[in-house]
Amino acid sequence: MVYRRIVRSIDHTLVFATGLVILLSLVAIGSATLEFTDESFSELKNLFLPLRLLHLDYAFVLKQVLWVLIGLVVMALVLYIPYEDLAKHARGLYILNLLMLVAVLFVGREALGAQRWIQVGPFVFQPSEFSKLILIVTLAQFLVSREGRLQRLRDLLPVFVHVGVPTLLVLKQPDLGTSMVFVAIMFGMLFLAGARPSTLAALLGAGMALLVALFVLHAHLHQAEALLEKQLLALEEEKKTAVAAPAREELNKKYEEVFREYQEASRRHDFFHRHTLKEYQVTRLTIFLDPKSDLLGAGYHIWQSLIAVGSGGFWGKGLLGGTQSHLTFLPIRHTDFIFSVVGEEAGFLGSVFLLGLFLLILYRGIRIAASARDLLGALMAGGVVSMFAFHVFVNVGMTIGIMPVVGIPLPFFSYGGSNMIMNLAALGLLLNVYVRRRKILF
Amino acid sequence: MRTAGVITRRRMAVLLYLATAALLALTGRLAWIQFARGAELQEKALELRTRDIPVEAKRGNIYDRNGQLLVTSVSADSLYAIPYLVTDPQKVAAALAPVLEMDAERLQKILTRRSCFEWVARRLPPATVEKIKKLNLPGLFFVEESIRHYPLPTLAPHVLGFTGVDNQGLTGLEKVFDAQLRGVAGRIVVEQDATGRDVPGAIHRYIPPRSGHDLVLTLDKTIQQFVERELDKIVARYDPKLAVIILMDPRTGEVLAMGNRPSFDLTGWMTAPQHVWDRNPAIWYNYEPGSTFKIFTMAAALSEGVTRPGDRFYDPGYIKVADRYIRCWADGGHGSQTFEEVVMNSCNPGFVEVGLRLGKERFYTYIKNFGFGSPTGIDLPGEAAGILIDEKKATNLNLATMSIGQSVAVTPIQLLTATCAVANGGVLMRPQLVKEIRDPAGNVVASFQPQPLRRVLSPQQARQVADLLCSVVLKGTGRNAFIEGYRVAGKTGTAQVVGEGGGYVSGKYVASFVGFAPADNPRVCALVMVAEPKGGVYYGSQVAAPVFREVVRDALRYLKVPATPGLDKPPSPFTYEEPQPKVRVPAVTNYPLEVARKVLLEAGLGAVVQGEGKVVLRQTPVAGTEVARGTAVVLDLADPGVLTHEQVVTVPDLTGLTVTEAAEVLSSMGLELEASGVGQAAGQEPAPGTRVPRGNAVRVYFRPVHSPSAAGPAREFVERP
Repeated sequence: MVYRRIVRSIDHTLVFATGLVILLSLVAIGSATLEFTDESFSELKNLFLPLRLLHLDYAFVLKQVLWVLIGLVVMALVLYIPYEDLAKHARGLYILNLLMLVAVLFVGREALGAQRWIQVGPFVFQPSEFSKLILIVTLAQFLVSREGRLQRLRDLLPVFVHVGVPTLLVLKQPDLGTSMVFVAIMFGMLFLAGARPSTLAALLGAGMALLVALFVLHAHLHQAEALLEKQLLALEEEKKTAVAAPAREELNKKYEEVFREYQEASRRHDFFHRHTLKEYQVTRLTIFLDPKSDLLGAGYHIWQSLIAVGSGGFWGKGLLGGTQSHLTFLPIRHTDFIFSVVGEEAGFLGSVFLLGLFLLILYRGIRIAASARDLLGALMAGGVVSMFAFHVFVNVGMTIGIMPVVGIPLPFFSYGGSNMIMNLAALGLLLNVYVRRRKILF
Repeated sequence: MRTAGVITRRRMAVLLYLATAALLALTGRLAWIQFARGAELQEKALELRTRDIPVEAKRGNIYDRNGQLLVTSVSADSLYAIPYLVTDPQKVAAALAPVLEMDAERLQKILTRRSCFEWVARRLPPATVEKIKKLNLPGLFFVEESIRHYPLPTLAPHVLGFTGVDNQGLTGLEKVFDAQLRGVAGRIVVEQDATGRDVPGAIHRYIPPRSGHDLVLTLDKTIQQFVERELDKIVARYDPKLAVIILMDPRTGEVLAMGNRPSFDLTGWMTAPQHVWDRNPAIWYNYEPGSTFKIFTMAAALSEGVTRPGDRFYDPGYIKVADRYIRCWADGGHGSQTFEEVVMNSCNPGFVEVGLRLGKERFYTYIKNFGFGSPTGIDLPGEAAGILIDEKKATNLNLATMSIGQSVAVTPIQLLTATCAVANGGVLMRPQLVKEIRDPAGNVVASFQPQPLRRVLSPQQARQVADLLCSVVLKGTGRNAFIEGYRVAGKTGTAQVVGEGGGYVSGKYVASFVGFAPADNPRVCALVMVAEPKGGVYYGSQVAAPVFREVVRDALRYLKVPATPGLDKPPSPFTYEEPQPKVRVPAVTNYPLEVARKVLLEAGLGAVVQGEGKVVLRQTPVAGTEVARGTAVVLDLADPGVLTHEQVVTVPDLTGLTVTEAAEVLSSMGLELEASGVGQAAGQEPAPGTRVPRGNAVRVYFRPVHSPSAAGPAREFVERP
């Protein structure tokens, strides 16, 4: 009858909020995956709301329901094992984590230009998703073992190694978004574990400064090359219209000259990319600042998403009323960009409601961390909250153009099996800490 | 187990605040996008969804005055790519490269450009188009463009002009009327979804291109062909620096034909030297008109009443103005003569006399009224204005020389337009090249009427001048221009070329003839100008007048102008009575035949060849002999092989040769060239005539030579008919 006791003592508000988010996500996914090539869908939006629900595309919704069910089982499992017992196996879990990430690099399946997935029987799963949760557990145990010894920068080095190894493995896939989540989890948990805030801030600042410096250097190299290329094109144009033979010769000479300079600039630019970030990564991280500079290329996602959200207005276009999503202008709209669908069809009202639910989840999570009966529980809960918060902020921020497009999903909302299962497992971990809390609160 | 400390719990609160702040920031941003920028973003969405494909318009045709096709456009397909629809650029580039004969790597670069439209190849031949269509490559499309086609590519190329890669007019009428000929490009506007598929039922518009308008010129293809034929003859006979023939209808100012040499082929203009195609000598070349300009001195003098045809003049062979003597072309002068005879004889002192009687103000008023000193306003780019000495600065000496057509520079079109004013009864017309602009359906969009600029002479005075000009052709220096059955009025001109430094270049002349026919009711007014003819003959009366006769006679017959029966004939063709000036025969022994010919031609001598071979063995008369200009020098030829027997050779005179020519001459004799300087040979060591062993080096000093060009102030005044 342990279960009965557990079910009775879980955080009902948290479970209710999460359940509501998942239910809404199913509707959003059903709408997002519905594709039209003509305007016939515009008649659908005049239907009575429950009737409209019948017109959703249920293919992905049903799969997502399956993931939710599996996720609930995993959640129950995580909830059942006391978190202290989980922490006891931290070393084993850490090794398992590394093995999984290494395995991806060798037997992983490639898609969208990255190697992130492993096929097990009929299922394809994404180890880096589970890796986040495992990292929270192992890092919590690691930090507890070093409690009180986190004041100096030197003390933090082992922590960096602990997080750094899986982060680099993920980065190698390459999966910039998830590796950033790792870093966010680390900073959140270090903060809670008592590391000096000024040290953390300095580290973050240094990291940011390094990135900015890289971007500036890249912008310089890139611009030099682009400028020369533009000159080349202009010269080509000029050569076409040059009628005088001596002028043509002179243009040819000039063209050769610029071409040599261009090759040199190009070589330096390539050198930069071979040793640091790739061109597309730089673009993706910076394009949100000015998506208009490349509307059909790197800026396309952000621009389409901005148009979708922006055209939603206050009330939204109504369920099935979104032209951006149903005419497939919006890319990857049932996963990373699902919030744009919400923005377009549910408007400001719906978006803020959804954000409110997330805030509620985060609030309950913090409460659970505060009520944990020991530091281990607090850190685990804090890690999960950090992860959720980072996911929500970066994902939503990305769809509305204030964050780079790094491709991390919206928790409990984006379509995706591994992510949903992991999120539910994380919820299980939160509840695990909650049901084993101190009897006296605050 | 430890419990979470106070610090940890405080920090949890901080974490919560941070999360709340972050979500509030998101909310704020949402509000900004959804409330403030909604409308703008929606508009942008539509822009992004449409794609424009340009469709080039067909360029208009150019016809002659009788509707004969001169320039047209034939269609040719161009290939373009929409890069993001090209699924496998590498494969496509590899397949396409051999067909287009382009570099595969370059092609791939074009196909991977971040844009939605790239030209791959313009105006392909039909066979290539077929081949590419068979390859069926994704993302590649054809659009119909056109290419200029010239039925007669060497006909009036300077006037018609040509077009560039984008069918834009670059020179001539193609440039001036580019806007009318070009038409309006069309567009295909397609709405597309994110992957570039057309969205059915969405915006899909075709805005067809509007073909360019056609030009109907005043040129007459047949007369233009006469002109080109005569120009070819001039080139064959005199190899001049420039030659221009223009025919106009004096009643309307319409240009019937305008031809230049050197010329080029419209289809292959790229291979012609730039100075040949980038300017039209007929409207650009400034030259001293010489005696042809006397027409206007005469017109002014008769109008102002400073002289009458019967007034008597005395020509002692020169006239003194200020402290300078201006000589007449005839040694000893023409003696006592009437003004009519002054005109017939083209007597310099006589004209100087009337010019001085007119005075500066009246003279300038007339020549400015005739249009000198300002462009005629013909519809062609690059027209020159001629050069007039500033009226305020002009001296009596200037006035005297201007009266005989020196120290004044005019363009061929200026001179002819002014002559037209005399021919048509005294009205200066704007020279006209385009009669009509028609739309593709044949409707007249714009038609250009003859444009009288001002009255310069009264009809009676014009009549008087024309009569005097008739006597020039009938009895005077213009007899070679006489056309059987028509009364021809005209004037010859021979002027020395003014060098860059300002002085006259000896041996370089501009021979010209300007006139009109029939004199009573002129239908054709023509100018023949030959600059720097070679071969010893350079008088307008001998070089230009016969050409005028040929081309105007053919034009009159072609125009079916009725002949006037019972006209006087000139007693005999005009030949210049003055003894030919003596020239020194240059040394051409040991020269290759072509070089020898060239050297002799430049010295004003002919050549008769005897024997076979490539090198001149002997010449008769020998170098240094003084002979009459135009005499033929007999050249005995020998093979270079003959020379190899000799071990000692005579060093030739290399003066005036270019480096290449000198090297050729020397190497044919087994001598080496040691060149210093650039330009033409000015000195040499050892001296010509020295006997040296074969294999020796000859040191030659070259010096740049200023090539003669447009007019400058005159320094020396010798006028010939």
